[in-house]
Order: sequence, then C-alpha cells, then structure tokens
Amino acid sequence: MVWAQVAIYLLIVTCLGLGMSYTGYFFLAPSRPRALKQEAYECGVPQMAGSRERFSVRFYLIAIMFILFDIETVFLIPWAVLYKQLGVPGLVEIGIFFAVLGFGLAYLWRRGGLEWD
Amino acid sequence: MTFTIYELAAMQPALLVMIAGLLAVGLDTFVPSKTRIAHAMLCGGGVIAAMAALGSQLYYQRTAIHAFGNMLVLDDMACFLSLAILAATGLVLISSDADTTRRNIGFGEYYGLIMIAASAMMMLVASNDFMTIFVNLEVLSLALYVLTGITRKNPRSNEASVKYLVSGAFATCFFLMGVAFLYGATGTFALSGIREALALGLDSSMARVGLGMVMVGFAFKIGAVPFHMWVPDVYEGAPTSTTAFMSVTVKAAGVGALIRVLLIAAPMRSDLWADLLWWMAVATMVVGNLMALQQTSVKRMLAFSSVAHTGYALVALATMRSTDETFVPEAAASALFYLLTYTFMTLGAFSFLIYMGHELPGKDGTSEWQDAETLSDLAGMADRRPWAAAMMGLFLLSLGGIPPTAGFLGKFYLFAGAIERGHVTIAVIGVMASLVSLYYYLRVIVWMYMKEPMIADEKPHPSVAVVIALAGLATLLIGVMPGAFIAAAEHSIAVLR
Amino acid sequence: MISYYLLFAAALFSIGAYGVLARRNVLIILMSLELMLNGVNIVFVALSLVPHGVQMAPGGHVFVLMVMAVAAAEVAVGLAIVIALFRTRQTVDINDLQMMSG
Repeated sequence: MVWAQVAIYLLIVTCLGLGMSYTGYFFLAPSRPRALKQEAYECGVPQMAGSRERFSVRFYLIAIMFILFDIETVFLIPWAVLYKQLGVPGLVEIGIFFAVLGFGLAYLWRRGGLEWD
Repeated sequence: MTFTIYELAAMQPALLVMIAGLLAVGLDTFVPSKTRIAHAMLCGGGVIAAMAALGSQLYYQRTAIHAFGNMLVLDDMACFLSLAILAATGLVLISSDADTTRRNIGFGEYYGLIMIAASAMMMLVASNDFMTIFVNLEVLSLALYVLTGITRKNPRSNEASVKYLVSGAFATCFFLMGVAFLYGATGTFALSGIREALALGLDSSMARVGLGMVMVGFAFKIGAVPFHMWVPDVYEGAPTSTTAFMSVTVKAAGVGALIRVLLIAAPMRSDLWADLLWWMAVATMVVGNLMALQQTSVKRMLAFSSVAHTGYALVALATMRSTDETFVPEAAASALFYLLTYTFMTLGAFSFLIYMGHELPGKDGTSEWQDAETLSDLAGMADRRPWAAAMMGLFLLSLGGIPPTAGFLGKFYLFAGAIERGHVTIAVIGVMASLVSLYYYLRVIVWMYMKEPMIADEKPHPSVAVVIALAGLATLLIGVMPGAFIAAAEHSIAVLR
Repeated sequence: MISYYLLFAAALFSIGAYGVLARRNVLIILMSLELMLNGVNIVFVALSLVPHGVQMAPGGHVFVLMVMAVAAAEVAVGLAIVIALFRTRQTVDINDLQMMSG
C-alpha cells in the first residue's frame, strides 16, 4: 500500500514538473527565431559546413576491416580459457587459425587496403 | 572433444582444394612475376589432387571416415557429389582463363573464390551436423555473393550481387531459426542425435516448425519455388562463367545436404516433410517451366530452366515415402544421378553462351565484354560454328529430356521410380512439364539453325571450346552407358544409413 | 522463465524481418539482418538452458560464436558490395535496382 502512495506522488510530481516547464515554454517565453539562432551550436564559432555531409567511402573500408578482424577474435577467448586442457594440439590449431587470419591481413596490406589515400 | 590427426583424412580432399585456392590468392598478391597459367595450373592441380584423394577413398579405403565427433563424414555419397562438384569446378577453371582476361577480373581473387566455394561445397555434402552444415553453407554463399559481383564496374553485376546477398542472408536467418528450434526440441545439433530424439516419439510443435524452417533455408539455396525469386536476376546479372559455376554446383551441394538431413535426421518421420516437398516439387516444375516459356533472353531462360530442374530433383525426395506408407530411401539415388546429368548439360549450355560472346564498345574508347544472351545473338550460328552449335543442340535436347542423352535417362529414372512407388500424379505433372520445356529449348535450336545470322563479331576462345567438348562428351557418355553412374548413385544412398 | 527470452528473441527477429521487407536503404536492410541474427543468437543461448535428459546441452553457446563470426563476414561482404553498387549506380535504394525483370 505504501508503494501506491509513492507511485501517486511520483505521478503528481512528474506532471507538475512537466506542466510548469511546458507552460513556460509555450505561453510565457518570448519566441523570436533568427537564422543565427537556428544553427547548430559549434562551440560559439561560426559553422564550417552542414552536419548532413557525406562520409568518405574510405570509412566504410576501415569499418569492413575492423568488423572482420575484430569479430574473429571471439574464437581466441574459448581457447584462452581452456589453454591448459587443450595443450599442444590446441596451440597448433589456434596457430593455424592465426596463420589464415594473418594471411588475410597480409593480403589486405599488400593490396593497399590499409592506406588512406 | 579431442580428435586425432587421422580424422583430418575426412576433410583432406576439401582441404587440398582450399589450400590451392589460398595459394592462388597468395601467388597473385605476393609473387611479382606471375602468369595466368600459373594460377590455372595451381588450381587445376588442387582439383586433380582432390579427385585422386576421393578416388582412393572410394576404391581403396571403402569404409566411411567419421571425423570430429561425427560432424563430418566422408562416405560414398559425399565422394559422389564431391566428384561431380570437382568436375564442374575443373571445367569452369578451364574456361575462366578466357573470362578473367576479357573482363579484367583479378584472377587471383577469381580462382581463389571459386576454389573456396568448391571446398565449402565438398564439406557441405560431407556434413553430418547442423554446425558444419551452417558454416559451409555460409562460406559457399559468401564466396558466391562476391563472385556474382566480381565485375565491379558492371551495374547489372552489382545489382545481382546485392539482391543475392540480401535475400540469401534473409533465408539464412530462417534456416538458423529452424536449427535453433530443432536444437531446443532435441538438445543436439548432430543429425544422428536428432534422429534418436525423434525416434523416442518426441513430436513437439517446436521440432516441426524447426524442420520446416530448415527446409525453407535449403529451398532458398537451391532455388525451389516459392523461394526462387532471386534466381533469374542473379543468374542473369552475374558473369556467365559464375552463373555456370553456381547453377550446377550449388544445386548438387544443397540437394546433397538436404538428402543427408532428411535421410539421417528424420527418416522415420517422413510424414513431417514428404507432403511439403511434394507441393514444392510440383510448384517448382510448373512455375519454372511456365516462366521460362516467356523469356527472350537465353540466359534468363536457362535460369528459369534451372529452377525447373530443381523441381525434377525434388520429385525423387518427395516420393521417398511410397503411397502404401513404406519408406524407400533408395529413391534418393535418382536425385543424385539427376544432379550428375544436370551438372554437365547446364554447364555446357552456359559455356556456349560464353563461347558466343562478343565485344561491345564502351564509353571511353575501351571495349567491354558481353556474353551472348538473347536469341538474336545466337541466330544462324549453325552455319558459322557448326560444331559448337551441334553441341549446344545436344545440351538443349538433354535438358529437354530426349534420348539418347543423359537428361533423358535422368528424367526416366526419376519418373519411373516415382510411378513405381505409386506417385503417378507427380510423375504425370513432371512429364507434362518437361513436354512444355521442349518448346523453349527447341526454339533456341530453331533460331540457331533456321535464322539468318544477326551478329558476326563473336570472338570464341579455344579454352571454352574445350569445356563445351568435354561437357558434351560427358552428356553423351552418361546417356549411352549410365549403368556405372546409376550403380554408384545407388550404392551411395545404400551405405548412407 | 525461458519463454521471456524466447519472446524477446521473437520480437528482435520480427523487427529485423520487418526492416528487411519494408526498408529501402540497403544499409538499413543489412542492419535489420544483423538484428534477425541476434534474435537467433538469443534463442540459441536461451534454449541451451533447457535440460535434455540428465544434462544440459551446451552446444548452443558454441553455435552462437559461429553465427557471430559468419554474421561479421556477411556484413563485411555486404558493405563491400554496397560500395561497389554505389560507385556504379550512385544509389543505395533497393527500389532503384530494376535493371533486370521479367
């Protein structure tokens, strides 16, 4: 029963707060929009360009590579947790896994995928 | 779960193919002076070595190798389908020498992707566990998405690639949800484990829904109606060599994996899937053939015809449960044999389109390669290229099911088996559908032999001619003496259980 | 208890499926596909809590790792294909892909 009182109290407080601020916003505050006021705030200095710019396609390339090499490491965690039990065979297997991953990285590097220009 | 190094023998053929593919990529990237011939030799060597490994497994080892806790099993069916996939891969490799040069495709990537896709397919038909099935299905799909869009400057190729990727990934999600439901119902991913759970009389709606969703995933990958919408666009937009590769190998691998799922995981519960497959097979045959009738592009026509041929192969699976309620797993052998015949005739037909390609002047003075696509591209070719046109005629007659070609025997074996098991209706529908299909196959022959030529600048490449000749030879060989192939297919299914 | 997880997963899966079918931007479709795969992942993990016989079946966790790795590869390939598409066609709207039909 005590929680019902708290809930009612919370409801009233929320309505009161929102009501006061919105009453002020809609009925009391002066509203004189100007072009300068409508701009995005950029630390007080004039805006350089719009915020809806196109990203360079290079970011997508970086994203692709990040996703690939980032996610493939999920297979390292199970191996690391069971390192002692898996022993040498596990080491060999993870070595093969890394060799293939490293081959991919070397391919990427050689093909110029890591260069910005 | 530990395993010994001997179990690697189960994936040795697929590993050979994959290593050859990776070496081809490495050769292209790290060796300064490289030639196309070196790539082709490397990949061809990989294919031949894998074939030798499979041959020794079939003739000397003889017993199936179960590896990695029964996740992979190299049995006769895996060997049979792997050999068909490798034969198709080898033929595509021969003709892709011409294709990579003409289209300025990076040949390291091209050969590498084809080999990786082939290796994933070989492991897919050997997969005995939903985990391996999923991973291999995805590896081969990813390789094919890229192969479809490998001509990066070609807008149609890009479009086909996006469509394939989006619809393929969507189907993968449903496949995975099905696997998850089956796992929830049975507590295992192993096909044999699911069989045991189902045999205990476990029949939750979860298992039913799961099996249904898994079959939706497979139906999409092999392009069965109503999940065929991507097939025409992707087959038309992809470079023709890619189309030739994926139209034959994906069907072999997908139907092979489906056979294994049905026969190992749910053989005694055919009531769950037989009716579904029946309707799917009928719809696929009818829709595929009716849509193919309306096409003016030969490439698109062949795409719809490949949908129809999926339907024929599904007839064998749908009629495994005979009308007097006995279950006849041997019926799947006719699907295996049909896939084998289909491999060579379709590959040959698509290769003929590559053979008849010509150059189009591009925007900036360069020329762009264009494979033959429309009927007018092929008009009157019988006069100028009599041998190639005769071979194309052979492939088309075989696709239509006219004796003494491989296609006739494949269809005969399928429909005769279906009637034997009491399924007369589906056999009649199938025969009617293939009669309809004769119309559009013969139309191409009519254009080739009875029209005046409209283009005269085709630039045939001898390596493609070799592919056409080999595929034609195989089509005739299977048609004239099918005994050994049928026996192999029947043996593959017989040892499956 | 487990049904809450399954309901949540079903919601994720359905939202993703709706996104794939209804949205036109290929990038958003790729995001929706990820949502669907994540829904499946939750089903796998939730269902590995169901006891079968005497013991739990822990395979679901392993499968989730596989799904994650494959999903990453799929997104990488998808982004690469979308970039190639944008370079030739200057659009990523799936409704503009109408070059082939019939």
